[in-house]
Amino acid sequence: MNEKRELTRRDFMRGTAYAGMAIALGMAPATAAPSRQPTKSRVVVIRDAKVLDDKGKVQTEVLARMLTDGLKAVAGTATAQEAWKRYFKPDDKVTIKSNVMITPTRPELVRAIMEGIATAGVPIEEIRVWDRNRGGKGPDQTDPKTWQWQPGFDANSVSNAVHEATALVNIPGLKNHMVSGLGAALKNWAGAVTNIHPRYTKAEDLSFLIHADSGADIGVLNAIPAIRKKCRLIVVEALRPLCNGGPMVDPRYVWPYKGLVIGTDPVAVDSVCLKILQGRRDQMRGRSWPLSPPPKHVAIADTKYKLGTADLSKIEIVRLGWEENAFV
Amino acid sequence: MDDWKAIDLLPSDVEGREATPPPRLFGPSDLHKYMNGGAALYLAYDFRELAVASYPIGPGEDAVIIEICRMGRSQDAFGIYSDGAEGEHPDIGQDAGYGVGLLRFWKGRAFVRILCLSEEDERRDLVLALGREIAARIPETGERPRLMRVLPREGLVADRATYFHTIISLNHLYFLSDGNPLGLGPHTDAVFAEYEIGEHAPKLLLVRYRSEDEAAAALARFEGVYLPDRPARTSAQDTTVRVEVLEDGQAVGLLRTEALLIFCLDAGRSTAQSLPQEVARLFHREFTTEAKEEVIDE
Repeated sequence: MNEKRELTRRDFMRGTAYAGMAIALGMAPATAAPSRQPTKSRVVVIRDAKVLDDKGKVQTEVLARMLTDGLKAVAGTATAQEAWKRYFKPDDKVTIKSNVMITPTRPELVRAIMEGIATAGVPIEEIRVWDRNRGGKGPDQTDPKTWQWQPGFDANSVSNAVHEATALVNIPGLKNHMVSGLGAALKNWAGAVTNIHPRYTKAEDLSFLIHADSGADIGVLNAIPAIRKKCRLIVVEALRPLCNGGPMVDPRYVWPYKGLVIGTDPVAVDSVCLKILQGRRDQMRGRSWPLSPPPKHVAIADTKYKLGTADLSKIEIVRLGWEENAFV
Repeated sequence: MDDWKAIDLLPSDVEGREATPPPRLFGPSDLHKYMNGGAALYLAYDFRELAVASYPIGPGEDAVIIEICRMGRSQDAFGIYSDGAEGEHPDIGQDAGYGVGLLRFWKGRAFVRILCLSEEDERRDLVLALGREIAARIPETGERPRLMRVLPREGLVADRATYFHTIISLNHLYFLSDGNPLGLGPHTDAVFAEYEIGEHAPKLLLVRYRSEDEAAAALARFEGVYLPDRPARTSAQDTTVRVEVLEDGQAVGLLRTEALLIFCLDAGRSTAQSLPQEVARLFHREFTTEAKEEVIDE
């Protein structure tokens, strides 16, 4: 009767499903972890208590320093310029995938990234930023309010912004998402395609089926060859993440984490992000409060789409800066 | 019964300043343009329309965002409200919750969110005043879902009882399975509630179906998916509480009474036995007795 075996909460309890993620969510004992493998992916979590003032305003100099220090740690270089040059060449056409929906990525971060990429020789006036079907170009158009560019979509519903670029930077905001459990690096590419109406659940109704089955196949977006090949860097804005009720803004669940999560492996970055959100949720409730639904798209992006590693034991997490309540 | 429109409830101005840009209206087919994946939660209820407007306040970029939803039934306006009702509870609408600049309330078929994005302070007084103003314009009140009345009060955690219909709501409240073995949908009424009893934090999941047969079939399906390694029981036994202790040392209790399925999760063994029985008792008092009276009246 039950042709396709369904994944249940008990599978997580036993550690028989996505063991690494089950441990991160507090649903399985640590003994369920697979054996340690050689390190493959490095993810940097950098925080600074002074990046937001007491009114919540971004301190741009502190943010820029966090970005360059974090990037150096990801790239393993002595200087920031060396790090930027590792990922970008002067003749690259760079486009930054921001997020403008509900909990938007801060323009201050967009500008800091543009300025960093410019040190690699890319003209700053030529660097684009976009989400969905709107975007801007250069340091004077980091704020979505100034965006005029409408890149449009190709016949497969993929944004022309992806095609026109030679290098992409993915800069989502960190949030809980009621459909997929987590909205971070992997899910941010939802804004690079069209036809993602959440009401439809049949494949024929949807160019990219990403909201069905708790967003299990969100990895399909990252597996689009142009995105997979061109995305050089991921910077998750975790200055004030949202740990519950997302993607709609609910200030009761926003907290000043004051961090950036930086890496090149989207699955590893998301694995670290979910651990941060999980840590905050457990802290708020004073007991285990697992992300729900479990963000299985992170594990599936690893096992099915081979986009990176979701196994925390295979991720080298580098923590820099402010340590209080880092949750990783 | 579309005798009022959400957009007509928006204030013309806030502190003398009009909405910028002008108010927008969304229906079921384009709600995602406003809230992307967040639309799934609203569409899981009987959502009809959303009017939204942003009003600048103060000298900087601070703003008050007002969202007014009209639902098909008051029970569904309550349902969306009940999903995240934590906070202080000012006397606005039929139930209201406020915290850190966000007011949520429901009245009749209306569900309203007022969010103040201010870097100066929460502007609590402004938000609450707007809430009272809008609530006064809503020309109706409505009923809460009757199923909420069968929750035992003892040990119930305040503001953690949610009324819903579909699997997408359940999954974000408490993940049980990635399929839909309970057959949840617009036709099912369901409640998820959290308790604190002793050292345990048990949860109650109640699902009311259209018929006893539907409920019995859903329970059998769920037991096959969730407890495949435990001895099966016959349908004749499903009206007694089944208690199973799971891998995490916590117990689950399952019971069907008429068209209602009762699940007690993350509980101690005795609670997994007793809480479903208490729900069944309250259910019969709330529904069965009245149903009989209705038949007699006819």
